[in-house]
Amino acid sequence: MSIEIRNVTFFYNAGSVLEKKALDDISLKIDAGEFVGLIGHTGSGKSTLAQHMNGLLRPSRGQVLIGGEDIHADKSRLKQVRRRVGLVFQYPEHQLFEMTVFKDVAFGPENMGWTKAETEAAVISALELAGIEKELYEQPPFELSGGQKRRVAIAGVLAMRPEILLLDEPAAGLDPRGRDEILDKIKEMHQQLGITVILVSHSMEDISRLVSRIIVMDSGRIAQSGAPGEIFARVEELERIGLAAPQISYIMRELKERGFDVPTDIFTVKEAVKAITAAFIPLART
Amino acid sequence: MDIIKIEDLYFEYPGQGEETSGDGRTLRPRQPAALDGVSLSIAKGEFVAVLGHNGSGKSTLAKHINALLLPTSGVVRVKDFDTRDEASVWNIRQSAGMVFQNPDNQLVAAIIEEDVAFGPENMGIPPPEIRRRVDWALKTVGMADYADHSPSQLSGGQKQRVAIAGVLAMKPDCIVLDEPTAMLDPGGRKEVLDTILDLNKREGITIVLITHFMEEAVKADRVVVMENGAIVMEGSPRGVFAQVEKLKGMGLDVPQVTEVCYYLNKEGLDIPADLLSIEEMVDALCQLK
Repeated sequence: MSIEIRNVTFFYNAGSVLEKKALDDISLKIDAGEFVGLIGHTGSGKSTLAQHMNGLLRPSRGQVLIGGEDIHADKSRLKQVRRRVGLVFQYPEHQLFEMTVFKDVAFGPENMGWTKAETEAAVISALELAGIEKELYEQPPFELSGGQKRRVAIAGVLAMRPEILLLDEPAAGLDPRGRDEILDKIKEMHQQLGITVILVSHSMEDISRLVSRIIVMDSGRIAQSGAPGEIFARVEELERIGLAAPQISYIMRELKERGFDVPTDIFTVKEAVKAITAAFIPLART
Repeated sequence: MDIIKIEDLYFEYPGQGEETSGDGRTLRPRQPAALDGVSLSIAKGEFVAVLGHNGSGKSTLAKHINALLLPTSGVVRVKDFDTRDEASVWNIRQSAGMVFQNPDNQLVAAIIEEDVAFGPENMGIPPPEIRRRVDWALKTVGMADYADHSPSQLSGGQKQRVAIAGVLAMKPDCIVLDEPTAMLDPGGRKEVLDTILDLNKREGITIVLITHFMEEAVKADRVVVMENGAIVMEGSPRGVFAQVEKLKGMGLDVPQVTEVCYYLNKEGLDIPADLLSIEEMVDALCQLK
């Protein structure tokens, strides 16, 4: 399912003395099945934009189209939009509340009025996708590890069978192992379900290894949009708006500046080792 | 001189022991101890980073340093005060202040300077001295311009700097920070790290920093890695991070530069495997020419 944002401007506290423009005439299109990273420092408007994509916030001006349909044209259809566009908030584990993992994930489907069999099937497939083992289904969610709790919270959104999944800082505050688990799972979900995934983050390292396109936000506007390699090759622009490229980008750039023939649009350890070996092994042998 | 001395520290949370039914059958085996024989000495003025994944025991260790938790067995001494000695608790907490992860859970007052004054007020310090300390603490963390603001107007990084100022106002010898940057964005992380380095280098305050971020750990004098309640690696950042596979095996990160050098070294390039900065690495590669 596609998302289109057409000339959207948004003010917090519109009309009051505290009025603050959070989005400034934004237009963008995300195709069905795309995996997009939304990046920007705190206050750049990235979470505000994400909340427009499932109708939690209504644009002050402009339109939000999901699957070609203006979501605010017919108020009675907003509930449908929210089911089809699942939003996982920051620190979603704070929203767990049920007595068991299974019941917590079942809350959404039950509210949608699904039958018991439909709900059960949706809950089990969501928990499996999130990598939660069967033994944990009847445990209280509060006794799980931080990474597990967060995956249960994501399963709660997945159980509604969304066609678009929005995740706001899904790895924040986790340790490296928990972070890798959750990011790997999100990648699997994207591949297995073929749904559109939008990842909001301020970690370039996390985003760069997952997404096919990065949208960089600054002061309520889109500063850049392109493949990770293209974005990281323009380090100066990123730094000017308070972001940084992955460390690898800096290594490659520094080598290039010192006169070595290496590519500057790579950003993973594996690619860097390959490129540097290719450039230096012949030198070392001569 | 050692400001913190931990000797063979062993700690179990309540309920970790074996559970048996009435007829003596084991319902649940004994859980592993949260801290399992930890010994660690930290010198005055040292900056020590503690790494380890969640559940490795690093927060439990931190809480022993200011007597929030007491050893099941073993000894923890802060400036020669034994943490088990109830009469010393206030001396210990004044000597070793703590800063926690969540910036929103630590500020208690409606105005920033009142928040910073909370600690010294409780210590019964005379008001003119409190005034001096609050001004100094806010200036030291670069927040003096915000003295009369409300904490709700601050960014996460600014809130953490105010939390650090609140600890500083008690004039501690040592500050223990438990993942102070985990919830911050890159800009906020840098603000807090710069503040920590400044306190260590300029004010000579001993720092114990628990973190998952390698770019913070490489700035420390010493890195301690914990797993299953024990210290499994210890040494200079260079010595510890060079053990790339061991760290990755434990589910921890390595700075990307070190990782690239390690693999290049394995591929047969003649460069050291323990480099920490981009500059060092590029220089080493240039030597090959």
